[in-house]
Amino acid sequence: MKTSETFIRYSLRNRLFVLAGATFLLCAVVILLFFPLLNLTLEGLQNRTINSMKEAAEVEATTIARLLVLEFSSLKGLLKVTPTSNTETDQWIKALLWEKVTFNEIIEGIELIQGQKDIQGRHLTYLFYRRDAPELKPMAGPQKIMKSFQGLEQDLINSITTQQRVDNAIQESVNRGPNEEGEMLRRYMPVYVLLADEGAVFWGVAKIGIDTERMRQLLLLQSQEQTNIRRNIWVEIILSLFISGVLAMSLIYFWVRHITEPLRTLSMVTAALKGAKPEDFDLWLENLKRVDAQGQAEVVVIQEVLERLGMAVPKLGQRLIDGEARACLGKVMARGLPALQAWQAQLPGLEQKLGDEGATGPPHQTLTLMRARLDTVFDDLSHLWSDPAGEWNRLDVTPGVQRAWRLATLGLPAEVTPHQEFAPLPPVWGSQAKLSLAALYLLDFAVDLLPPAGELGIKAEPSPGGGVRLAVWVSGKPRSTLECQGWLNPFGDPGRIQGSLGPALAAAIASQHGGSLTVAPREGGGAVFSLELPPLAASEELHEPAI
Amino acid sequence: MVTPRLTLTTAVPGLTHLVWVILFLQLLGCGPSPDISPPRSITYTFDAPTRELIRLLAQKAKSAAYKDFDRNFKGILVPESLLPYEPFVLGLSTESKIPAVLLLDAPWVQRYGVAGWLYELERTKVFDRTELAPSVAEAFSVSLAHITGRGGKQLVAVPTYIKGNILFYRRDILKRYNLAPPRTWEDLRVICRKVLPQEKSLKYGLLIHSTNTLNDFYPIFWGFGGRINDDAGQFVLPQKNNAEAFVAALKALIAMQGSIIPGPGALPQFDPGGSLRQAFYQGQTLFMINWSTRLKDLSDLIAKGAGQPQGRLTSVSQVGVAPIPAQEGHPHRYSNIGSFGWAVNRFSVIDPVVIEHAKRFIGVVAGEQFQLLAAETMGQVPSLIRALKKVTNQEVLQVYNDTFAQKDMVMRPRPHSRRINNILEKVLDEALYGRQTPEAALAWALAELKKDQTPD
Repeated sequence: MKTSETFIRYSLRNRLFVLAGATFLLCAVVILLFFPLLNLTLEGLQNRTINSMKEAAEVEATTIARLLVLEFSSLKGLLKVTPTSNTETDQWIKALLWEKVTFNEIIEGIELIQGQKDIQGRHLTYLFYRRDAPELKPMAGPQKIMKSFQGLEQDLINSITTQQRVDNAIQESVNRGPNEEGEMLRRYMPVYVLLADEGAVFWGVAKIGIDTERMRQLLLLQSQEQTNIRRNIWVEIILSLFISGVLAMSLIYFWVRHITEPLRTLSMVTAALKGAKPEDFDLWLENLKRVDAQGQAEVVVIQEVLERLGMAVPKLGQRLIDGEARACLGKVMARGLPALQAWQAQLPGLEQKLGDEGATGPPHQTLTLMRARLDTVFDDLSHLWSDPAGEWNRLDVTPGVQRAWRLATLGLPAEVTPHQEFAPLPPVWGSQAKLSLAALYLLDFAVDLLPPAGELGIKAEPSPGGGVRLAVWVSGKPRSTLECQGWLNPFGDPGRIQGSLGPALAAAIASQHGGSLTVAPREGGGAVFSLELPPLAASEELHEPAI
Repeated sequence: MVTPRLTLTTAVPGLTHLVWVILFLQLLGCGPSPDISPPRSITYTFDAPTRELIRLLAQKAKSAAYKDFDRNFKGILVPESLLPYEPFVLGLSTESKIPAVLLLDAPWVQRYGVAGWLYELERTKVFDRTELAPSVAEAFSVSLAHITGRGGKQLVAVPTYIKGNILFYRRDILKRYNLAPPRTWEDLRVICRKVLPQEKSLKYGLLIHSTNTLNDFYPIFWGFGGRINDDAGQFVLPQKNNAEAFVAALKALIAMQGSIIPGPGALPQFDPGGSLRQAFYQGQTLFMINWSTRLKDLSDLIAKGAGQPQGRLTSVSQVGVAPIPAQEGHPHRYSNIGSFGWAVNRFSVIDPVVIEHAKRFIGVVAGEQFQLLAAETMGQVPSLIRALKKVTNQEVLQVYNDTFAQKDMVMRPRPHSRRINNILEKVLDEALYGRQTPEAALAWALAELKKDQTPD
């Protein structure tokens, strides 16, 4: 199965890490979603506070204005003032305004506006404003002027003087515009002068300006506090998320490591089987048994199953090898059977001729040759049918390879051209039967590849390293390197197990002997199997007995 | 695999523990916060007669409304010395929330109502106008078209009784001469001309107050078709028809001086308070213009039996009451209303609870029980129709049926301007004492009022 290479291995442990991280991030996002809600809450709180402060300021302004109006209601002199007069009453009223504005920080200014107007529509007005604004010149003192109104103020004055009441819908609340009065909360209230004999006599309007600087400062302070609260809460949330994230991820890391360790170890041990050699199988099995499942049921089950498979695989392999050897010999015999039958059919005729003509002559030579061939076949079979395990010793592989050659080429069609080349070979260490069988596996596989009029060859020669090199080649259609490699790995694709295991078993035998088997495409078509055996080690050299 | 389950035997004790823990937390103060809302009482202007009636009702009636009166409503005592200054003008004009409910004289109701300081009672379902006698309900209604944009008059105060000046007459004497009470001034003059020469004990045909004469004069003036202010409160006396009516009414009085009413020289003897009813009680006059509550006073005088026995009243049945006569051909007769009514400060209505409390307060101080008690003990004429139906005091019923229930009777408040009243009072003095002609006196008054007017 092909697996794509990724930066992070797609393991259970990494998946758990990613899952935990994603879960934490999700929780963090959910927690962070509270921040907009917090913003809204703070915004609502700010609005409510601002409204409360405005209402409180308006109540304060109303109270102050009412108190002043109550004081003005006792000024009976107001009923006698005229635009042109400059009486003691005028001075007294102006002095009163000066005292009220100067000694009350909350009062920004006062105007007393007579309801009666002259023919030009102007109203007698006493006014005094405390001007703290640097762009405005301070008033010299309370003034008595004739004032004309227009716009909203005129409407309000009209409303008060005709209906004798204050209409909140008309009244401007906070004056923030750059006008002469500066920033102030204005209150308009009717002035009635109370007389014992006439009751409450309407005189005019008192316009009282309340300083809003304090409210603006409070609003600014509150706005700064809101910003501080927002920033602090933001930092606290991020910090707490960071700390909790570090703690959570640390705990999760160790926890995930702990619970996935048996599975990871089992996975590593199992994965080692992919690159293990047959001789490493016992070691692999031993490693498998040593995996600590830590009581995890899933790991225990997989481990037990793998152990059972591990114990069964060598036996199955041995059975497979044994069966393959017999199958190979059977196939060779089946291929040579027509030749043997032909010999058997020739035997009575030859024996009859031999009886008629005596023990000499061509028939006798032919019979002798046939008998020799049969003997050779049976001898070759008997050697190769022996126990594949065989004995290991110092040997010359040439006889065994030649037996295999003879058996493999037995019964080949006449159109096939065999080529054999045996050079004197140095001795090697191994099993004669297994090496012969290896050669037979290769030759049998090569025969299967033979085209009808193809060529089959074998060449045994010393290798440059002092060992033995056995080359089996066959002509035929061109083969790719990948195809050739596939013959050595018959189980590479579990979905397509090829018919013969010969090359793979030959490679196993070569590997068992410390050698190797390579397969390569042959120039001009076909393939070349090269089996190399190492030279004798020093300990395997034959030593003369020391007498 | 066996799935573990929570059995009932373990779940029930767990639930019980949870319930106990919740109950215990409540004891530790984790329950709902206590009600710390401010007391929901409203303020009202304190007056002695109302307090006395409430005290009596609290003793007699078992209703919690009267017993818990002081707990639910806070009275504001207005010193007598402050009343001439109209102290509530300052509070209402500056949008003060206190007092929430005010007991106002009818002219003040007109003044404050037109200014938009009083809460509408009928449209806001605080009080149903149809429960009141029509004549008095009209007197406590004002036009608010300039504020609300709605036409018609709106009830802005609930009177607790009906009081106005009316014509008192000697019913026994008119009956003896088979004469009906006069409807016009001509009728009155005819009666006087017929009766006075024959009844030697009668010194006068008609007595009116020599001080505060204006209160008696207004219904006469209105009966001549004149007005001082229109419905919107505008000063309309200078208009020709009104000025002519004023002069005509004044001339009618002057014409009766000496023969029917006391001449200028005799007027000062009626300056002391109570002198008018004393003279009527002693049989000195055939007619008298006085407040409707004087019938109770006459009844008390008769009961006491004080004074010379010859010619004085011995029974209240000798006294008849009727509306003050009007000019010949005028469709209505008038009374200068003297009732007080409970009004709600518009600026105090910042919460529906205030309205509910005001409604409850008015229901207590202008309710049926309250008015019935006032009728039986003080001789006040109830303003509630259903109370009028239950009244047993015959004098009260006589006053109502013979005057205020008359179809042509209109109750109207005097002008609220003290300045106007003071100046017109001087006009009457000047004319009745013969110092100026009615025309000259009126011209002087109009000049004075114009000089001090503050139009805008």
